[in-house]
Amino acid sequence: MLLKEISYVRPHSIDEAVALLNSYPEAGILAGGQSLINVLKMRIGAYSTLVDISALEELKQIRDSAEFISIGAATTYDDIIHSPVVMVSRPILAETAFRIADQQVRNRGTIGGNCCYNDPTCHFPPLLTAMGATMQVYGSDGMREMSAEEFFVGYYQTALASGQILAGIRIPKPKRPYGDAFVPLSVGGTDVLNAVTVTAHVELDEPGTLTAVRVVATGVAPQPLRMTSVEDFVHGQTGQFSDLAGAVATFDMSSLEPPSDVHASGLYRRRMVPVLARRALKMALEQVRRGYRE
Amino acid sequence: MSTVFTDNKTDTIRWTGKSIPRKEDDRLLKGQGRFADDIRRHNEAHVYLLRSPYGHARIRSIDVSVANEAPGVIYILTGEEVAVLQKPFMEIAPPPGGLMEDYCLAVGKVHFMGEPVVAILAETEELGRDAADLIEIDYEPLPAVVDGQAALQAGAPLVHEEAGTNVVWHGVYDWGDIEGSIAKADKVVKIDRLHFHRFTSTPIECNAAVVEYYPGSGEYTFWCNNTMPQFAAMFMGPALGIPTDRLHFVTQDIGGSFGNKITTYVYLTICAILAKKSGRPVKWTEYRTDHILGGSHGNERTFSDIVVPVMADGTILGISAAAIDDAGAFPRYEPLGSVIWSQVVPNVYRFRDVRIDFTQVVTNKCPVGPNRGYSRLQHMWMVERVVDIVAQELHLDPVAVRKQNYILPEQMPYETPNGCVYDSGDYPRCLDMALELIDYPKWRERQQTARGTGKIIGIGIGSTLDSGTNNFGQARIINPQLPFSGNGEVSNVKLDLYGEVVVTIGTTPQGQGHETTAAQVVSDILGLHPDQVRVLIGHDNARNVYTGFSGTYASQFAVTGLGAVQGAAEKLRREIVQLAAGVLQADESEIALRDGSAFVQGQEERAIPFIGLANIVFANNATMPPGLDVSLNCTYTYRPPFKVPDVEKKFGNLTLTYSTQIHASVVEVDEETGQTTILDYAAVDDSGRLIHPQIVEGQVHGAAGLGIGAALYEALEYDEEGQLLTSNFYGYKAVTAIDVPMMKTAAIESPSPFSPNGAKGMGEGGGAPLHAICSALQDVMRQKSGAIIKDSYNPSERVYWLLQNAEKSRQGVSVEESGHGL
Amino acid sequence: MSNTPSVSRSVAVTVNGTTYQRDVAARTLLVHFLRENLNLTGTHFGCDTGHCGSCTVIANGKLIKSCMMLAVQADGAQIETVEGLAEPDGSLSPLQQAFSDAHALQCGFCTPGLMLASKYLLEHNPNPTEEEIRRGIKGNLCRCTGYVNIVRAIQNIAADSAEKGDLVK
Ligand SMILES: Cc1cc2nc3c(=O)[nH]c(=O)nc-3n(C[C@H](O)[C@H](O)[C@H](O)COP(=O)(O)OP(=O)(O)OC[C@H]3O[C@@H](n4cnc5c(N)ncnc54)[C@H](O)[C@@H]3O)c2cc1C
Ligand code: FES
Ligand code: FES
Repeated sequence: MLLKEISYVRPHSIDEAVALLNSYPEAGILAGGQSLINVLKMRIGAYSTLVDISALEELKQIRDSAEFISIGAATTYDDIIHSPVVMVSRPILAETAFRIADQQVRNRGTIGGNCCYNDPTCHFPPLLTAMGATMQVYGSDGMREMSAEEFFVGYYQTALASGQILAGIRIPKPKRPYGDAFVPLSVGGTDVLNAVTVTAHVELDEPGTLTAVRVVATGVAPQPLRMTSVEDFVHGQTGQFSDLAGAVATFDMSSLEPPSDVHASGLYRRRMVPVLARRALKMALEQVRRGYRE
Repeated sequence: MSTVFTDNKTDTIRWTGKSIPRKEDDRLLKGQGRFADDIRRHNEAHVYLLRSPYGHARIRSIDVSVANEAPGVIYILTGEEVAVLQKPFMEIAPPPGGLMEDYCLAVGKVHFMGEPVVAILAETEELGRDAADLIEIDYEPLPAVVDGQAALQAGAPLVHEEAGTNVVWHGVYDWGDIEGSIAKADKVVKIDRLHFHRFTSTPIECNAAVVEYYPGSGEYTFWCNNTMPQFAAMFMGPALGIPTDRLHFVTQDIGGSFGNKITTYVYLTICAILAKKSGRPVKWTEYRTDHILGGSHGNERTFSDIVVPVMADGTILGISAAAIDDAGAFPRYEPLGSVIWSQVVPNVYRFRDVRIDFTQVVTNKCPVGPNRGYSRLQHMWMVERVVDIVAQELHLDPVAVRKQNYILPEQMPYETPNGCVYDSGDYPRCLDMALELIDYPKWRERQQTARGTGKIIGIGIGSTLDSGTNNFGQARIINPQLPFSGNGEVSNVKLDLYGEVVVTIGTTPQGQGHETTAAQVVSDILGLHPDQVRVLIGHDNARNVYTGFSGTYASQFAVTGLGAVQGAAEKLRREIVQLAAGVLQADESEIALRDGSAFVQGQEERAIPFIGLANIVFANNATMPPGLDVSLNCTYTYRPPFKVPDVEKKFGNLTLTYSTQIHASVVEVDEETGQTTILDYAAVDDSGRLIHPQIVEGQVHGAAGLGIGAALYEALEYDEEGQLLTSNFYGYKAVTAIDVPMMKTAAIESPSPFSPNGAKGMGEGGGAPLHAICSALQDVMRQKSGAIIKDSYNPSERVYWLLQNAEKSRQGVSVEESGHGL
Repeated sequence: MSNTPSVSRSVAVTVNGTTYQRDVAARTLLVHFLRENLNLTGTHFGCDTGHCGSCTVIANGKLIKSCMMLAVQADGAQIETVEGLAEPDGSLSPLQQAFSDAHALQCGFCTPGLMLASKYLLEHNPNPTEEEIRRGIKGNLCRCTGYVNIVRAIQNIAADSAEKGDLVK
């Protein structure tokens, strides 16, 4: 609980935030603080100056457009949960946010912070990867975009360079029937700590075949892991496709070297990937077949 | 002593037995409770403890020179100085355990991760921690021993070289004729190993203290949340070389303890040394990680070579087993756990031939201390596992086997093989009620329909006792030299100057509602409304009465605490009646009490209010009726009728009352993941006469909640080097509201013939959820792999592997035809 | 507001309607600020990782854990703590009364946080299901009650509110 001495500053704009980040050598972003404050309590973080973006309105907007939902990095989980735009266009975001920790954490924790912290148990990195989201990175040289896959590079590692901040996330709005499913295996109780997750996304194209398939596992590799052989197998099948076991069997589980820790052994994690993958695909396919997502 | 239930001396309403509003609630609901960390003293300084990052290491050197110069630092204390200022704490064990040296800071080496090594006193907590970051400690890591069985191996690292062994205590308990049983049994079931895991109740309020030293009197005041202060005094006085009367403990509101706050004397000693050194009030605040690392854990116990002679009809004749209890790095409250389990040797069963070879060892882990269900739950868990395994392996119905073996109500009071006397109870009825609450036949049906769905339903039972009111004479079974026996609590009930009724007790309640229940008892005796009775909060040995046993632990308040309150209130009542009779010129038998007045029955205008009586005694005593000797200030010590046990035979009545708790649980296991969900849960308890049914039910809920957490989610896990992997709530997954079901409860009341009010101690529970959930998981396995549930902790992953591969768990489990001997 | 980072600041924080102006170190957590600087010790702490919820308060209408926020971040905020729950005359509010009636508190240490979590839940969802109640208080650990009577207290006051009008606001 007893933090090291730190400096604090509350910028008025994103430009000022970036400027501050670049002027103080050990400066870091404080967003919801729901991870960072704990890091500071343990005195293991490197930051000595905190640039607090949690009150920056320009980073807290959820915008709707024809192609995308854009979510500002400092948008809280609770705001996502209560966003009509999200509810209509990509409800999985709200459903997943709802499973994070508890009401208090959801009232402060932000989607941007979740991505930048990128703990292997975090909910958003796999989800955004499976949704094909675009990460908007802002630095002194302006805005740059990259895919979620490019962004999440390893345990607690992102592609953000020092002096850059994550400004927002763009999530595509599928124009055809689609399904999104996020299936976590929580250990220690309901929605306590995700040891393994599998997220699945599928779309149904005009001729009635499955496309844009993405299946992403976490808890088994340093970054959200695309199970491409499964994706390939499902791609091009009809909407009635049901050989989930066959699809999942294409993935070489033995190639995984999941970590073993006090939460779960590597072997157990490995065994859980196909189970969750089947379940996630099944849920996503059911949605596709219904033609809508509820 | 008369009981309050037969008291017909008042015509007021009876408060005892009713769920009246709790007196404690108002302040707690308004945020006006006074918890230890809420205490502030002028000019206080703060203690920060630098703890060992190693499980076992020699301290080569500690360099505090830079830290000494850091801003705000007042004093830095290390083990080197402690070794001079403090004598090692007393040990309860005879040698070898008694040789183990325990200081408040690590001296020479660290014995567990989280052991305090340096204490920094600074102007603020933050500055203390800043300075701690500047301290250089050179450690030489040593191989650690983290498993009880490994601690006994030749060549195992020694936690305490001075003892020459890791054994704290060893003894063989042998009652009846286990060999005879084995010879005459139809079958002998053997189980190689059962393991009861390490967990903790970890109360939401951690430890805290403000300690002040008064040089003029040599007295220390401890505003703290220790829950057995006079036990602490027995350790601290000799360690600090001062009489125990110089140790003044004040507890107020306490945010839970479950036993975990009994052994904090180690930390209080650090504070005492620093308070004296600095001349400042010192404040110590413990945070969760400190608490989980270095507070007090529950006992981990491994049972091996379990041999169970059984008749073909499922009658269990006895149990023979070896038990290795892992006490962590220092014995402290131990080795009392090495005997306390024997309060419930046969659990609720009739078998009479028992042999337990009991060894307690030290390891490089956090010291254990009493933890809800202390030492009995481990043993009863083993017995319940045996019952389920016997049922499975002999293809018998686990419900039937329980009923077949339960002690019957007509056998009460029942003397167990080791001389304990179960006072009353009706176990079969409690079981029937529990089964009815969950609608047992319905679940047996659903179990069938669930087949093939990937979900497996299991139904389990946990039968337990909550033995309350210890006979401390049992400590002599551990160490015949110990001058302990019996038990007792004391209370004072008085009229204050203006007739206010004020009650003090020696206890340290942590949520059990003592202020309320004590007021109920006093109200009935003095003809008052509980609002008219003030019960002072907490333990305070400069203000309240107390005995050496005072405190709140081991399920005893309803008996010892309320027994004392009742005795004191009755004494006061007699004095009031005597005085009123003298003043009103009536016969004592004509005097009745109501609403704060004494009056002559039938002539209510002949009355005198308590304020009038108090005035006569305290301020107007020349008007006292002649020949009377009353003080209106009455103290009574309740002493349960105990004898010193037979130390040789390890035989005697070790506890006064035995509450029953029978739980039934229904779980659903996801076959593919091992995830376990509780579908239904029922707890039936029999705590004798209920003083406040709602409080009792609350204790049942709470004990069940913690037990469910421990069964499925909560474990203190160390790696081979003695690193605690679950030292905060990320790792130690304290059960949340989502995962405790809306349990169903019911109660029966079998009054205790031995307690002054028919009540029985309760509150710890017997760990019934651990038994019931393991039992339900066994029922799951029975339908699938036939695996044996051998561990008390069954997270999803363990359940998964048991479903996948029964072989490993079945190894070492066998059923043999009779006559093989041990 | 000054836009150079600083190790301490002057803040104005309104707690239960009273505005406090204080200098506070940037490293001070809001929970410590409430307890140490303002002596509002009804807000507790029970962990060091944001899990237990004993430190729960409502800040600018949002339920938060005051150990997961810096005091300097509360500059200008309106904060509600347990000390503000009772009626103006000092009697228990219906929510507090519901906790007492259902015996939803034993040691009472978790209770301030749990009452604020319950209040927030009921303000946003006056008629919650049992599941919603459990989700709503998931961030508050209680080691005494097994949560049973806490859930009941919330159910009871929700039912009472449905009958007699909102009792929680
Ligand atoms: C009890 C508890 C349980 C939790 N359980 C879960 C869980 O199950 N799943 C889960 O996903 N999370 C969980 N969390 C973590 C929570 O979701 C955090 O909110 C999240 O990890 C970080 O988001 P934040 O906004 O709080 O970021 P902060 O804690 O403020 O920051 C985290 C890191 O990201 C950086 N950062 C934040 N925003 C930006 C930005 N816009 N640009 C650049 N860098 C940035 C910070 O500098 C810091 O390094 C839990 C937290 C708690 C306290
Ligand atoms: S102290 Fe804030 S959540 Fe535990
Ligand atoms: S009442 Fe004690 S922790 Fe909740």
